[in-house]
Amino acid sequence: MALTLEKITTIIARSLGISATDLYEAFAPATESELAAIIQFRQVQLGKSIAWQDEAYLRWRYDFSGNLTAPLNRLWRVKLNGAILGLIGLDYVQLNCRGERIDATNPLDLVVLAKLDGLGLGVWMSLVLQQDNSLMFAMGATKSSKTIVQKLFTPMPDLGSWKYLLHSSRYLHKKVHPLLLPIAAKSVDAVLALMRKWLVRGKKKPWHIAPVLNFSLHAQQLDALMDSYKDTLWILRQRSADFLQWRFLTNPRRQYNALGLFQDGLLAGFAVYHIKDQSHLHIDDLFTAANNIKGLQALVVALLEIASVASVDLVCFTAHNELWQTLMIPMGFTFRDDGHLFGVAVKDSELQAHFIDPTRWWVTSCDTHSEGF
Amino acid sequence: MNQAEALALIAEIFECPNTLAPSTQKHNVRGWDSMGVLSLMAEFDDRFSILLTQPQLEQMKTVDDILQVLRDHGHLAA
Repeated sequence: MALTLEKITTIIARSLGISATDLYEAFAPATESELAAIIQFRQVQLGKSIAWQDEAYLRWRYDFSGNLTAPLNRLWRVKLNGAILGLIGLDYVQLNCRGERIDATNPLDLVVLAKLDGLGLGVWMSLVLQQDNSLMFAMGATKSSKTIVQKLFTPMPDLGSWKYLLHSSRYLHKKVHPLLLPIAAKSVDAVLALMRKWLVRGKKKPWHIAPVLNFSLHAQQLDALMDSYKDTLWILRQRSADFLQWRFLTNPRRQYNALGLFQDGLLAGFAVYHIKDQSHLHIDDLFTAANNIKGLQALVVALLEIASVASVDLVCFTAHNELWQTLMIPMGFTFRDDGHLFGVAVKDSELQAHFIDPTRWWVTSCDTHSEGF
Repeated sequence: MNQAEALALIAEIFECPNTLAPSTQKHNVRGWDSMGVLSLMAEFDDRFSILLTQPQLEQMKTVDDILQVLRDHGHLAA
């Protein structure tokens, strides 16, 4: 029982009491004059899940100028008789594939009026955007968008997390008698510390690791790092200085920290992380020149040291499993499938075979909108 | 159409195993989600010329609520 966009449009329009033409006309990128109404709509529909300054977030992520020709992030809305019925954001993404820059889009921030929930407006908005965009990928999903990601995108393996335990008491208390817990935790933590000491020896040389406060200062080196991937088959987001500065260091939803891997004074790689609830350090991005495993190891070692000083219990790294096994397992990390959905929709037949191959994607939290989860 | 045929059709629409009963609740039907609702509306429109409305869909909590629509339109014996 295949559903066409035409049929779905007819059904949705009829449900709303309008024509298909009117429905298409009601769906457009939001402009500055609509921002106040959008903020109120999101506040009502999302309620307590908005734990940040939503206006600051929306202005950071989306362009509301009404300039529809430039490749910018936009928030699309269905508006009827002055009332907003649904929203869906569309990030403009530049991917790097064999040295070529490929334009793609990434939907997010799907919100539908509660009384219309389950009637397919979110599906319709997603399909209309898919129709006009030749390469689209989706990462993660809320309860309401899960079906859309699962059914409208070619599924890739779920994103999982690599985890490294520093302190065990939080996890042992469910398995060990309370009287024995302090001794057990102390013993396990001592073993973990010894293992860590053995794992990290010599791994930071010959690099110098230091904070990065402004990616713009390293624009040329970042371009050179990206160029190093041109002879590989990886599909990865173009990590330009402008993108990284925007994504991490001016993000209004979370305070991120960036570490640089320097050699002879030049940036040879970087890591981005944040510490959550004083309990775990999350690695949000990890990047060096292609095949520089030792550089990645040096960054991981530096992050483990930061985690140890901060007395967090756990270090975790959300990533696509295929790539990171060779790095993370020898470093003492274990993998857990977190069930974060990842899907790709490719219309261009020339891109199909390459972009629906899950082994080709280089994915980290950089590619998600995890601050909103 | 008899009840068994109607239940098989609903299972086909929702792309779930044909183990539905009239008492089966919405949250126990795999595929009764926004995509499933669109398929239901499309199939009822194409096959029976039944236009399901938003208030009707909001009220549907069990498989029997869907069967009742078919009964009301004379496509299923009471």
